[in-house]
Amino acid sequence: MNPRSILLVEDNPSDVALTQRAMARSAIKNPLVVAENGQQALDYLFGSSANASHSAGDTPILILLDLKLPRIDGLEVLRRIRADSRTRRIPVVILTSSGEQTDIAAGYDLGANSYIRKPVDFHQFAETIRQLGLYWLVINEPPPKR
Amino acid sequence: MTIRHRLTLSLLLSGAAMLLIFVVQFLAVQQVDLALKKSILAGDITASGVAGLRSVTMDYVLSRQPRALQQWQQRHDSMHALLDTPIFDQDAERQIVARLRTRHDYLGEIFPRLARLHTETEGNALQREVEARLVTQIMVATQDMVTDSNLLLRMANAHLDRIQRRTGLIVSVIVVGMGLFVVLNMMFAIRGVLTPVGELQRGAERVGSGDLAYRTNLKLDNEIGALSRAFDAMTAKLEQTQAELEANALHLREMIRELESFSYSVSHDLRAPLRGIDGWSLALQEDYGAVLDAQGHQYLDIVRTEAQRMGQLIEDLLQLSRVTRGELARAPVDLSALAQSVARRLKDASPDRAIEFLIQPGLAADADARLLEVALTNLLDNACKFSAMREVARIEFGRGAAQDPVTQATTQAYFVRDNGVGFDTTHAAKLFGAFQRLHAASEFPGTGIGLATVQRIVHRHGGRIWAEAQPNQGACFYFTLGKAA
Repeated sequence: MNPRSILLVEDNPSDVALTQRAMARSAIKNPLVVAENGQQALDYLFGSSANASHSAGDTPILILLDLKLPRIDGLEVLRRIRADSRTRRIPVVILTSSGEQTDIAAGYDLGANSYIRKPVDFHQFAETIRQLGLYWLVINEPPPKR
Repeated sequence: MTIRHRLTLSLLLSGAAMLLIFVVQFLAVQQVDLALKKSILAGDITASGVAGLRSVTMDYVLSRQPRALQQWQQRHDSMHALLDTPIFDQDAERQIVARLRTRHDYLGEIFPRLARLHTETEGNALQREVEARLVTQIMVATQDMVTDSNLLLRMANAHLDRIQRRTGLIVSVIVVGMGLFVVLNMMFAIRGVLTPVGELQRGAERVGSGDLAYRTNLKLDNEIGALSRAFDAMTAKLEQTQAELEANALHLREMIRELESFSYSVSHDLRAPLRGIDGWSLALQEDYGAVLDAQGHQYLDIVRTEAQRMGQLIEDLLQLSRVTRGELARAPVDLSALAQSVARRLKDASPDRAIEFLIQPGLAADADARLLEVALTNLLDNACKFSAMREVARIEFGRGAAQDPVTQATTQAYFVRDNGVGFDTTHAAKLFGAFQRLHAASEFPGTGIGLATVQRIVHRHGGRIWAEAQPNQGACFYFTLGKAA
């Protein structure tokens, strides 16, 4: 059985590549699905006419969500994830550059499971991704599949 | 009518009333005087005039002395003078006086006849009878004169009575009129002044409590009306000013929001490329390390160090802007405990260094705990940094008397003292500006923003911060926390 996917919602291709590199280094085997903006993320999760082949039932085991995104921003994506019974239980980790108190508070208010600020130093970033994978994919008991 | 006009009018009316009373009394005194004179004169006519004539007539009839004749003539003349006194001015009086004069003249006619009778003839029966008839006529005439002069006396007395009654009545009317006027004036004062003043007071209280849309709107044409209009104009101006201030405040809030979103963008957008520079430099070293020589690796190290330094700069700048924003949440803070926890973190960060923290216990202040932690972290971190070359770094946090270099006053201030490199105090003013550094970055790493952040935190608390130091003798930073410290 293939491990369930991780959904990375991130618009910066450099950050996407660095995340992939860090995950590869941490030996995380789950496939990484990348959504470049909020709309793509919602399309992936709930299905859409533009992507009819994808089945909405294929829920990711973890969502890594950036906040500042084109078109639909991260907090709105989070609100819709938590509003829908199909995606309500998926662990969502906000992974962003912003350390603003208002963003952190809004993230938790909307039901984020964790809030992580991306460090500039790649060593630290890679270590963060490793610990994140260890906790959410290994230690944490995932919600039952619907 | 204005209050000033009303007051002037009432003053004039009171003056006029007093003048009137004076005039009435003056006229009354003159009339009383006249009536008294009339009364006295009438009395004189009765007593010394008529009664005198009668007595000398009797005297003469009994004694027949020429002396009595002479006296009679004197009496008759003086009576004439009395009757000629031009004092009886009323018609009725003049009639009586005329009657008196007629009788007096009649007396003047018949008495000489009596006298002649005596001197010309010897006393016989006829003579005696004529004499008796003349005497009787004299008696009747004088009796009538007494009646008339008594009538004059009664008239004068009645006049006197009338004057007194009339004067009393006029004065009473004036006094009652004035009293009425005073009462009306008081009522006007209460209705026309006190009531609108009360309304103005209520208006001032309502406006004072923030109801700037309230208008007193007293439609009066007196000074209070003018005051009400001026008050309403002032309130309108105040309302307008407040609206402008609110508009300005809104504008400022919008600008602050823009600035916040700007710093948000700086936080997000500048850090992402830095992470890329750092990450891909590392990727280059890791994946292509074999094709790079030692210098190539060194260059990439420099690229990474610089990227991380810029990341730190952005962090510090964001913290500097963050301590300026938001409400100052003052609450009791255990500064000693706060300093202890910061010291523990700093010790953990440098496990290979010997750092001795001396923290005075029991220090408490009414301050914003989050900001104070930032300030203490910066100050204690600086102290650690600049005492790195000591075998044992000794860092103190406490509170004691210190002299503020600006106000020259000795105050109780918190202090953070170290035994590090210190600095030359001639540059002390530069210490608290952003990006100001007194040491080379290679010697002591740092962005030069920490003390600017500390200063802002202290200033937000209404406190002051200053430093004392000597090169190689350690440094001491003093700060106060405003009212509650």
